[in-house]
Amino acid sequence: MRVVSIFRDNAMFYKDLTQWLRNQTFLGLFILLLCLAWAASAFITLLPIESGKGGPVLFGLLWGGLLLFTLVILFQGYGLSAREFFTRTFELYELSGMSLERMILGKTWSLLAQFLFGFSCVVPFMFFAFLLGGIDFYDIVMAVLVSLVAVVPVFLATILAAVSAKMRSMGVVGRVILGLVLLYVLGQLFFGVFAFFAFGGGTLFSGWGSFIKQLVALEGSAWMGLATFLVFYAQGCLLLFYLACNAIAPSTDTHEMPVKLLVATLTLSWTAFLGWDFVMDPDFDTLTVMAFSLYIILLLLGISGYYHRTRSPVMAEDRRARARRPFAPAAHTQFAPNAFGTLRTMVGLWLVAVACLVLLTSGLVDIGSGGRMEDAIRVFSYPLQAPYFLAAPAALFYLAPAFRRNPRKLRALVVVWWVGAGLLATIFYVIAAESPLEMPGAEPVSVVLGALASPISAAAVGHDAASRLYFILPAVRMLLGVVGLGLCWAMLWHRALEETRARNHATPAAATPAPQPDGLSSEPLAAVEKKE
Amino acid sequence: MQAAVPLDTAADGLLEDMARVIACRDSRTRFGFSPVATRGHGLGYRLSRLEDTAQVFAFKAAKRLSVHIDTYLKRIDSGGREGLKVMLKVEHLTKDFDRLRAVDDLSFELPAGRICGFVGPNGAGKTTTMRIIATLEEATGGEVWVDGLSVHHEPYAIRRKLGFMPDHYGAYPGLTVRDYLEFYARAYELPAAGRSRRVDQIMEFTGLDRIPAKTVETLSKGMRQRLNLGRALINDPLLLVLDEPAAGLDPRARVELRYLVKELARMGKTIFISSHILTELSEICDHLLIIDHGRQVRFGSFEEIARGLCNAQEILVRLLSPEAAPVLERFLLERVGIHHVAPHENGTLSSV
Repeated sequence: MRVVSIFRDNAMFYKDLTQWLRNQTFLGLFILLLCLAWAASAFITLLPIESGKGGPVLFGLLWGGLLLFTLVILFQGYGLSAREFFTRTFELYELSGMSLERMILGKTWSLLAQFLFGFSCVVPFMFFAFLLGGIDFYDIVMAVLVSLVAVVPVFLATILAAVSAKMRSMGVVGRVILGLVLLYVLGQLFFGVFAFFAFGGGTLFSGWGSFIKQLVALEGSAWMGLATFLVFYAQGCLLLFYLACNAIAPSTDTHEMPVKLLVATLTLSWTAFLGWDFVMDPDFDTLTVMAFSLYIILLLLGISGYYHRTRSPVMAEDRRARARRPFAPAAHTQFAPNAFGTLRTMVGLWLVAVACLVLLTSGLVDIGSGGRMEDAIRVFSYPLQAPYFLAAPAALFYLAPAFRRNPRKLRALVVVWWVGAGLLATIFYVIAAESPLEMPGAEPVSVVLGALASPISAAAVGHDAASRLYFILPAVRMLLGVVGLGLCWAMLWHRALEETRARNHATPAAATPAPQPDGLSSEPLAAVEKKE
Repeated sequence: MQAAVPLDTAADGLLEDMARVIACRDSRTRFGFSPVATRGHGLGYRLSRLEDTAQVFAFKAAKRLSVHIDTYLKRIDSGGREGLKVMLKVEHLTKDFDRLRAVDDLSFELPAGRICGFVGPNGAGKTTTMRIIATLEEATGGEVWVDGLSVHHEPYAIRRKLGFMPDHYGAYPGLTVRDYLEFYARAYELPAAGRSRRVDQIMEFTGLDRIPAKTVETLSKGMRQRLNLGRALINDPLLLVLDEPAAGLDPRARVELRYLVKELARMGKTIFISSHILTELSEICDHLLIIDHGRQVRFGSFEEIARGLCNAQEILVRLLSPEAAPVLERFLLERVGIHHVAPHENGTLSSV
């Protein structure tokens, strides 16, 4: 009953589903899908094709039909959410006290419920396809499960895309992309069926059922694979969910805290997953992917969240004050929705990179031959330098008040610097490396310049293992990283102080008194009455 | 124990201190024993007796008495001393958008149960101020309290006490009037048992009960504004913030809206209503706040402002036969003290 009431009381679920049921296309689509399933089943059953071919053909048609139905739902869901976003309807939902989580949850449930309408209509016919032969029962089960599992992140991504499209033109772009996907599916379906009749073959899910058989047989690797998938799947879905919440938040609210938390946990899971592979399988070199993931995440996190407000929005502060779960206050502080929270998250991930480097080079973990050790040192020094790239270009311009007082300008400047200086330094490095005779001694200079100028040039320069400087570069990078973190803290504290000063200046000298309880004026009653 | 002071010598202090005592009680201070409570005004007299009682009947009795005093306070409050309860208080409110200062040092207090008109030209900062009060924007400086709650510290609680009718409307394709209100009733988490009754009440009040099955997108502008007002009322708010509700309405719909606003004020709601046309608010507001370029120009009761702003008064004359307008115009302009006469298309003359 509690589950029922959760769905029943979710206002957004109620609204979206009501809107969909009142939509005239709903009934038409449902009947069309049902007719298609009946007609296809009857047609394939009556068709004089050889035994074992009818099942896959019917399955392919039904699955294609379901895919088309899902795409139509996506179109409608995207259109409705984008329209609500453009017309600032979400603000009215916010005012009602409905949390952003409930809004996105309601929208996702509604899309899922719409999908289940079509799904429930098609699935029985999929199992009928099994009776026609040529298709494994477990393959069908797997197809059904994969469809159910795959639609959740797809729906979440659709909602995220709809509410992230800040401009109407982006809404049009989103529809065009969905339209192209639709055309592609239609084409695949048409040519797939044609090719099948012409050349014969199986289904998209042929052989997938063996995974279920392995699970049933309690094979460790299958269960491990399932657990790994579920860990990443859950985190990925949650990240999409909170990104969507964050996208619709008004200026007084944000959901950056869970976004940062999930980015951190996903990075940790990913690093642990690749690290495990690297240690367990000597032939499998995941080190570069692992280190570059950390490098890119640190840079993206920094550029998106560091040049940001220094105070949390009021709604987020209120939520933090009301947080009662264990570890919630600590999480709210560590991943605070402001520049300080971003920097703390970056420091955490930076320490993870340091820990990885120490683990891989200290001999505590056996990573095999000496070459791998050198790789570990070289590759893992990249993430260590990330804070330097975030702070250094901005530090040059920080003294100018026009930049200092507008973090968005600083961010734009850093991005332009990364791209511009990165390209120049990379070109210089390439020219110096290609013609050492014409420019003697230029190569070491170009390497140092490239390593210091921008994250792009640093990646280009550092990946080439030919230079003699690589043995000292990791230490330099570590040092630069520490300097970068120091600069980040210093600039941030200064910005916070300046903002507080500006706020105090904005509030005139008759400083704001403490909040008055019980709706009372700060003035004595007699004075109020005199006024009256 | 404090010396007793007769009640009649400290009538003003009594209420103030009683309110403080209740505040203390709310902050979990034992009633009757707080330092504020025994300051020696009329309340001191009461409390010293109360303290004796509390010593006899222990803490529970004191707590019961505090409830009595609370009720007493409310009774006085509703008995004409409305100035006691400030529903909306804005102090030194400032809002900057990059280099633009949209709201500049705005301060005013609005007592409960009053209608305050918020007037200013387009771009004066009215919507920004209202959005800050409605917790949709964050102020750069200053503070706003709604029923004693700070927008900076308790925004969630404020949303429960506030009904905001913005200048935009939203998109609800396919929803009927009843679906719309049902949806917002769920969104406000009204209990399932009373939800339907509340929707009925709102539809009856706003006159939408005649068209419950009409889809929202097919409603006229006037009906949409009624529905928007109904949405703002669904949680029975103490404070209503209406952002240009009459914009784009025809004269009849404006009159109907004014009637609804007056009705709401009669029901005890505090209303903060904006417009860029002063005359639009003159009939319904008892307070007026005028701003320009984000700065407060005037705040006070309507009469005070009318007295203070100018000596001139605009008089609207409705003519039974519009043909008489030119004659009357000539007649009025000949009178001493009448500076300007303007005939309107709807058969009225305004003279200043």
